[in-house]
Amino acid sequence: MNCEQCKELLVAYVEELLAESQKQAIESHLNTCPPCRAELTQLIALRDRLAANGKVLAQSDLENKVLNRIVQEQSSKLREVSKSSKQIQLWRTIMKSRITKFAAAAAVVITISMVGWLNSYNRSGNGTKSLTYFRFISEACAAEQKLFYQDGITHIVNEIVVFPTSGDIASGQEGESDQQASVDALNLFLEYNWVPMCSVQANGHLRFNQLQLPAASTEPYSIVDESWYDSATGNFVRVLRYDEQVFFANSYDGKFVYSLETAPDGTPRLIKEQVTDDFSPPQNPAEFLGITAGLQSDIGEETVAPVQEFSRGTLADGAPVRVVKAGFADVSGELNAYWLFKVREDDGTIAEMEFIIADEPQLLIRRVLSKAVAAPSVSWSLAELPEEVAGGQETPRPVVKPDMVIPNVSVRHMVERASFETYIFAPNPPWAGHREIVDCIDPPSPGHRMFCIAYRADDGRHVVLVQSHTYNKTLGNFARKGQLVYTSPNGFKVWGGGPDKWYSGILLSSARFTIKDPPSDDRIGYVLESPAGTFPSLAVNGTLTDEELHSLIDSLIPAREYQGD
Amino acid sequence: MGVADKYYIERCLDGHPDDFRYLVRRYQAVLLAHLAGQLGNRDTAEEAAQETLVRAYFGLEKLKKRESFFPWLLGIANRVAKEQQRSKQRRRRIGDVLSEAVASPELSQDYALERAITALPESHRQVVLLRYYGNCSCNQVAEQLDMPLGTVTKTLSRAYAMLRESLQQQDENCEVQK
Repeated sequence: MNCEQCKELLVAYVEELLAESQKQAIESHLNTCPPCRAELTQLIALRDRLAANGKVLAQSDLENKVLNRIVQEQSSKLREVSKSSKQIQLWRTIMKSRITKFAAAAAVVITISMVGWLNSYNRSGNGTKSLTYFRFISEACAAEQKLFYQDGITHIVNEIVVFPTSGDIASGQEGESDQQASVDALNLFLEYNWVPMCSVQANGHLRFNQLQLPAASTEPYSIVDESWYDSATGNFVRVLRYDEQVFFANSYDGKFVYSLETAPDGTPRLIKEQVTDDFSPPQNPAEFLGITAGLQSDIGEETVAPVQEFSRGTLADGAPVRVVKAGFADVSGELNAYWLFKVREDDGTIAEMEFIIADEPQLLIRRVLSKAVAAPSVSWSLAELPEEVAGGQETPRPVVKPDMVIPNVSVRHMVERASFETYIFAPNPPWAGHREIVDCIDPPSPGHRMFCIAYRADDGRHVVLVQSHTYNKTLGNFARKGQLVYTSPNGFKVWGGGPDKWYSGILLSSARFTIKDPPSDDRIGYVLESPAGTFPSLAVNGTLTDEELHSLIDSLIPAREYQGD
Repeated sequence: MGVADKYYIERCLDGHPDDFRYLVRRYQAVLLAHLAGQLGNRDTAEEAAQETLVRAYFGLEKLKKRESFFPWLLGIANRVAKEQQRSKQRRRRIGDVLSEAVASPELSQDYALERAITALPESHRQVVLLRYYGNCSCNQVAEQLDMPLGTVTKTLSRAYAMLRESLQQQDENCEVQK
């Protein structure tokens, strides 16, 4: 090979596009030709300079700027044709604020987990299951199931790490009174992180709990979540420890179901219940012991950002993983709060999942061990555990709050548990048949419950009414910026306008367990202002005539006056 | 490069404007490199890139050949750059000499390189932009620009020579000015 031929092939050589024989020919020429070697060095230097500049430019924040402008220009186009132009503009301004976005993102994440839970509760449901997020989580859960079927007893250890956050997310930098409400709500939300956590009850059903994790002050802290499972008998033990001290446990020894809880004063309580006659241990241990437990969801593609393969990487031990991102887009279409999943290439299980809000990691859950053992280190009956429980309540500690979600409750149950006046349609909307009420924790308002009443309609125009302390406290300011659509004789004001498609999408998605269908394109949302000063949120999965809307609102009565059930 | 531009374009047209972000991610560095050399100022280039992408979004329906998103986008960028230069000249004529003197352009880290890229002939520039700013492999560049792989490496080879010459020229000019 001469210099001219070498130079001609040098770029292809640098780009690794040459056949082995050509490569060898070039290399042997380079070994003997200093000018060509110098040429190669210069070529590589220029290539590196180009690549470095490319990297710098790729870091620009054009993405958000462009999407914000698209939203802006789209809404100004809309303004030309819409009568409620002022409301939209105002909403847009409010929703543009960083704070509001994060509050919205937080609210959305609350919903996403809740839907997941109800779906796993309602496994027999015949909702559409072909959606990407659902498929992704189900596949991971099925893959994880295999880990529990090793010879003998399987021992799995997961670690939950809570990171300190900078506080930037919740600092109300604009300080405008309009935003105060959402800032307050968000601050409440950020006082603790949480993850869904299932336990098994004596009747074999799952109980849907909430593992509350206090904010980390300056250093991250971790929880050790340890399980043993015997696939031959279905016996299991699960123990959660913080600072080497047990704060929650649940087990089954073939005859009894045990749970160890800590009373508010910190004293341990071991509850032993004989299993009921129709008890059978849940078939898939991954659904209550695994990393994916409680995450299954069939949220529609309309509201959930696509599950997106983000990149590839490796775990600390070098195992290759796919990195997948999934979450709800907020009202401006941005994915400010999401989960990043690391899925092992070899067995398809989720090895790590990280929850991120506004680029800041909040939580990391990862599997640190999975192996077969001869016997569990904790007895199936938890007998020795009460000794290991820490007493006292001086500092905020992780805690398992039972009954994060109670599906299918009665109107009377709702009245007894609610800390505010609740309302219900009486009679049911004439076009909507089956009704279901779900009682769940109101995450931004500790100590309060949230009620979701969903009506499934034969014609697809399902109705969802959600009432919560958080809504009562925060929605008023936003609602009154909207458009007053109707004032009913029974004293309700109906507010419309704003991003009703977005929040009706969320309300309808959160009730998928009852209504089954995905939110439709012509769905509509309203914020109601009740005579008691509460702010129930209403979503309808379709269009209503004015007359239908009026008669629906006119039929609202205080739930305590309800005569049915 | 993963999912084709065509897929995201169709998603956008199908009522998922949020998917435009993937195209922004893919082409933002390409556009910035393309525009920074022409406009000489990082801020102006960013503005122009933003304007280009927004116009592209609202013009997606007009793009008949969805596979040709990239050259189409560069075409829009060229128009936007020309408009910006014209309006800058107008402002200059109005005579804001003082502020002109005060405002020192905030150049990106490697303005010399960006200017050298701008000076490349169109076909060479496209290859360099896709390869180094669009994160495409040579094979992907070939696919994207519908040319044989051999032509891509030859073009890249010539582009390298031109870039080096242009960078050397700029260095010499710099020396002279000093």
